[in-house]
Amino acid sequence: MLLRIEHKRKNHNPPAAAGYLRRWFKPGTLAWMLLFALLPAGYLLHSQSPNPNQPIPGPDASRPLDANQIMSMRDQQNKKTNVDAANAERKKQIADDSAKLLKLATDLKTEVDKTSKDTLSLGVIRKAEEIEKLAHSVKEKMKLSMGN
Amino acid sequence: MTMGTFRPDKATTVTAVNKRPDANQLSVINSRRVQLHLFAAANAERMRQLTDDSTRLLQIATELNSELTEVDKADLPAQAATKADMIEQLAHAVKEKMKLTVAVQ
Repeated sequence: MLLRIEHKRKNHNPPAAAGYLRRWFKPGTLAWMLLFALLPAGYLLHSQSPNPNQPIPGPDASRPLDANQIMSMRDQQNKKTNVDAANAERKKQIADDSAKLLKLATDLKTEVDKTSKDTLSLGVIRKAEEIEKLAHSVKEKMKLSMGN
Repeated sequence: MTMGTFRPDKATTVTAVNKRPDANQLSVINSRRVQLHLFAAANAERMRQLTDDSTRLLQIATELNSELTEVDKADLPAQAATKADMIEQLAHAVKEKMKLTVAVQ
């Protein structure tokens, strides 16, 4: 049996194409070819792997904005600018009103101190009414400022 | 001494002028006196409250003004609205109390 196998091996003549292939597919050549084939694939795989730190862009991320979206963005920016300007103006008014309140309160105190117990002072009534209205206005403006 | 000279200190005639008030009149006079006394006391108490309220109002207005000038312009302090509300209520109280003042005569 062993002798028969040896005989078969000796009689085995490889064809010419097989010799050609064997010459080309040496172990070193094969390794180089594999390396060159796998490099681009690895690069692609790495570049397409999701980065957990970056958000995954949607399908329309690279699409340019249309006119409606641009108008909406500008509208929002304008609204934000207007709201900021209104808030700044309101805060300035609140500061002015509070200074005015302080002055009125000082005047009221002086007037009350001058009034005797049996005197009805119209000046005190007028000043107190003015303070009441001003304080109400300041309170409402503060509510508006805090609510935004 | 001449006879027939009028002497008021010796006069005993009761007229409408020198007549003593009767019980009803005395009651009216006394009640009026008590009422005046009560009005005066109420006025004094109201004046005391007015002074306190105006002092408190001035103190809160000073605190509010200093808070609003010290704080950053970006945000308002939360208690500022409460202080403005207190100022409004105190001013209303001062106005109403001053209207209630009664002239005591």
